[in-house]
Amino acid sequence: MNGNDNKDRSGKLGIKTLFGLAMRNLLRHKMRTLLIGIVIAFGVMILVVANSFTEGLKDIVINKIIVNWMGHINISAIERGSGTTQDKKMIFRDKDLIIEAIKTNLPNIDFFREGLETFTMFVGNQRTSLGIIIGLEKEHADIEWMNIIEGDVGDFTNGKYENPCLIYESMKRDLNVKIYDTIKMKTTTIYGKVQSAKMTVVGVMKSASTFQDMGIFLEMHSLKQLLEMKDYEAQSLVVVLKEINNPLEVIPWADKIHEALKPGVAGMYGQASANGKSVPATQLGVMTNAAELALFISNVTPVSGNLSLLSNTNGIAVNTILAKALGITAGSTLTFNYNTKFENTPVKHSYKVIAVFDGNTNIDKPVAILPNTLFYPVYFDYLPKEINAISNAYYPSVKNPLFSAFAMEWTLVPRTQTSEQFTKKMQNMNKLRFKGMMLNVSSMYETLKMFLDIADALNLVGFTAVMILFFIILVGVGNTLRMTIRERTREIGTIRAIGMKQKDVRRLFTWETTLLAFFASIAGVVFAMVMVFLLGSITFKNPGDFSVLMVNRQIHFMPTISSILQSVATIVGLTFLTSYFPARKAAKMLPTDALRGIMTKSTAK
Amino acid sequence: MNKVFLIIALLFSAASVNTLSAKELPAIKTILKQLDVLMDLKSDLSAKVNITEEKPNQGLKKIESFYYRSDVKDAFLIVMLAPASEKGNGYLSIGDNMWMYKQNTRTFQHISRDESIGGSDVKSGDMEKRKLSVLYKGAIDPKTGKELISDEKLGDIPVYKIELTAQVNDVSYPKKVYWVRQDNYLPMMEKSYSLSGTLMETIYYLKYTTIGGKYFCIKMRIDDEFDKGNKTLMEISGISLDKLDANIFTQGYLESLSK
Repeated sequence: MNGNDNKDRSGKLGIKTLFGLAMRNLLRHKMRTLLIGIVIAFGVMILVVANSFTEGLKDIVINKIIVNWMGHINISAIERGSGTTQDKKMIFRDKDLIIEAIKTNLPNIDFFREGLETFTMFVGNQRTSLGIIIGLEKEHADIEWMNIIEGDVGDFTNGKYENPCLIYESMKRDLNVKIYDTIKMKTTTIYGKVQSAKMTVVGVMKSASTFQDMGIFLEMHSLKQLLEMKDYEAQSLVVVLKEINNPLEVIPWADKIHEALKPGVAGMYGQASANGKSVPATQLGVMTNAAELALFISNVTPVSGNLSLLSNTNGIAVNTILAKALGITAGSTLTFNYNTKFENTPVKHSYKVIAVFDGNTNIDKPVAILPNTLFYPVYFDYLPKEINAISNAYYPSVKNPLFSAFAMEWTLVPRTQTSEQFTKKMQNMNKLRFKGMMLNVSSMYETLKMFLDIADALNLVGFTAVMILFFIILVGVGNTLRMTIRERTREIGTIRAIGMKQKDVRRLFTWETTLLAFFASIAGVVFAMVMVFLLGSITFKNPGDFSVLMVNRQIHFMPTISSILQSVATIVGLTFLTSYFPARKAAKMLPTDALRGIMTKSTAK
Repeated sequence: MNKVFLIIALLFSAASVNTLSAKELPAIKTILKQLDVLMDLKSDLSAKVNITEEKPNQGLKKIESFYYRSDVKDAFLIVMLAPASEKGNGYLSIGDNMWMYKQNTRTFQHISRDESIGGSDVKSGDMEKRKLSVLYKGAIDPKTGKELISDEKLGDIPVYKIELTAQVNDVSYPKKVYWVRQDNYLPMMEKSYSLSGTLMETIYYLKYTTIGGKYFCIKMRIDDEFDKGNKTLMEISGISLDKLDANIFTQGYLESLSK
C-alpha cells in the first residue's frame, strides 16, 4: 500500500492490492485459515455430492429409461375395429403416413425408431422368466448403442441363426443360458392368438438399469411376423430430438406434431357392382352414434328405404347417383371391391342396400355409406389408398356439413400436460368402447413429470439438509471472524491511521473471507469428485429395490458444471454475507479507539 | 391313476389307428355342433371349482372358487374362496364386458379375456361361452383335400380324432386337435397349438357326470406343454342347475359377498 499506484481514481484500494493484502492476511494465520477452509470445503463437498446424486437419478429416469424407452416424443395408437373390448389392438396400419408427418414437421430429429414390445414368457435351460420382447431395427443393432459385451452383433442380422436375439446379463443368468443357446418364447399376437418360437442368444448386453433387464431384443421384421403384423404397420413411433436439455423443451415439438396429425375422412375408392353393371364409386363410413347419424340424415334427402337402419343393421346406403347408375333400390344387393394400398390385393364385399338417399349438393359423385361398425373392420384389415389422393374419388371438404358425420382415419386424442392427466387419458383410451382408431401424441415431459417431481423433491430435501448444516458452519465462521476482528483491532487502527478508508477496511475483510470461501470451495469440489468416484465405484451385490437408483449396480452420480457452479456460488455468497456485517462493524471503528484496542464505545465503557 | 390310464391309452391309440376298418366318418362340423349342444346349458348353473396347480420347484397351489353361470343372460360370476390372499376377489362377465373385483381395495377393474383367474394359468376367457362351431372348422388335408378326421381308440374307447383350424381371428389357439367319444361325442382329450404350430397344452377330460340329462366334465387336467412340468387340475363339485337370482350377476352382489 505504497503510494497512489495502489488506488483507483476514486481513491479506493485497487483489486490487485486488496487481493495481495487479503492473501497475506490469510497466510499469516495459517492454522485458522486452514480450519475454517476445511469446514467450508466439507459443506461444499456435501452439497456437490448430494446434487450429483439427484442429477444422477434424473439422468437414469430421463436418459436411460424414458428417452431410450419412449423417446422425447411418442406416437401410439389403439385400434378397435369391432368396438368390443376383445378387439383392442395397439397398432397403426400405415406407419409411413406418421413418419412423413414427423419428418416434415420436426427439423431437429436425432433419430426415430419403431417401438414394438409385448409381454412374453421365456423358457431357458429349465428356468422360466417373464419379460418383454422388443423389436429392434437392424440399423440399431450396434455394439456401442446396445452395449454388447459378449457375442457377435453380426449374428443378429446375418440370417445364420433362428430368430437371433440379444439379452441382458441378468436375464441370461435368470434363464440359465449361455451364448448361442436356444430360448423358447410364448406370447400373444395382436389378434390375441397364442404364439411360440425358438430364439438363439447371439449377444449379451450390459444393462444400464433394472428396467432394461426384463427386455430381450429380436429383429423387428421377425417379431412383426410372429405377432401377425405387416412391415408397414407399427405399434408406436419413438422420436428422439437433438439438443434437448430440459424435458419442457419437448412440449412445443409434441404440440406441433399433434397439430400435423389431424385425420382425414376414411374411405375406399373402387368399383360398385349390381345387376351386371359396375361403376367407380367411393365407399365411406358414417358414425352410428346418435349425434353424428342425425347430422348425416338431416343433411341428405331420403329417397327409399330407411336411413336410420344404419345405426343397427348390417346394410349399406347409396346415393341416387350410384343407385341410378346401377339400377338398384332399397333391398337390392351391392358388391363393392377395391384394392389394398400396400399389397394391391383385391377386396370384395357384398351388402344389402337398406336406403337410397339424395346427397343434394353435399355429395356429387357415386357414394356408398356403411355404418362404422361394418366399415372399420374392413378398412383396417384391408387398408385402402387414401381417397384424398385420388382425384375421381368423392372427398368432402372440411366445410361440407357432412364432414364430421363420416368415419375418420383416426381420432386424435387431446394433448395432456401432467403425468396425472396422461395416466387418466391412457386409462380412458383403454377402457373406452369406441369404434375406430385413437392416435395419441405424448411428450417425455408428461410421461415423466411424476419422476421429475420426485427428483426435484429429493433435490430440495438434500439442499435444505445441506443448508441447515452449512448455516451451523457459518455461525462458526461468523464467530471466528468476529474474534479475528477483535484480535486485529489495533491493526485496523493502524491502517485507518495511515489513511485507509472505512470502505477499504470493510472490503479487505470481506475479500479475505470470500477468497477463503472460494479456495475452500474449490478444494470442496475436488473432495466431492473424489468422494463421487469412490462411492460410485462400490458395486452392491444385492441392491434390492434400490437397484432402480443404480447403473450396473453402482450408485449413479452425475456432477454437472452448472450444479457445481451453483453450489460454489451459493456457498461463496453465503460466506460473503456472513462476513459483511462484522467487516462493516470493523470499518466503522474510530482509528483512535482501534489503536487503543477498544473495539466499540460500548465495550470501552 | 386316470393320468396313467390316459397316457397308456394315448400310447395305444397311435397303434390302433391302422387296425381300424374303413367306415363312414362324420363331418367335423357335425361333431362341433354336437359338442356345442353338449356345452349349451340353456339353464343356470352354479358349482364349486377347485383348481390345483403344480409347478416344478414351486410345489402345489390350491385355488377354490364358486362359479355361477347363466347362458340366457350370457353372464358368469366367479367368487374366490381360497387361498386367503385371494378370498373375496371375483370375476364378473356380462356380455362383452368383464371385470375383476379386488376385495382389499373394493374396486372393479375392466379386464380382458387374457386375465388369469386368481393368478392361475386358467384365463377368464376360458370361462366364456363361445360356440366351438363358430370359432373353428375342420382342418383340410392338403394332399387329399379331405377333412382331418380319423377313427382311433383311447384305451378301449373308440374315439374320433379331429383337427380344427380357427375360422375367426380372435381365438387363443389357431389349431386344436380333439379326441371325442364316438358314442356321445364327449371330448376325452384336447391338444392346443400356437400360431407357429407348436403344441402348447393338452387337456385331459378325466371324469364326467350327468345332471338333468346333461353331461358335465367334473375333473380335467391341463398339462402345459410349453413349460413342461406345469400341471393344472380342475375339479368341479356341487353342481346345481337351479335358477339363479338375476341379482347374482351384478357388481353389487360381488361386493356384498366380501362385506
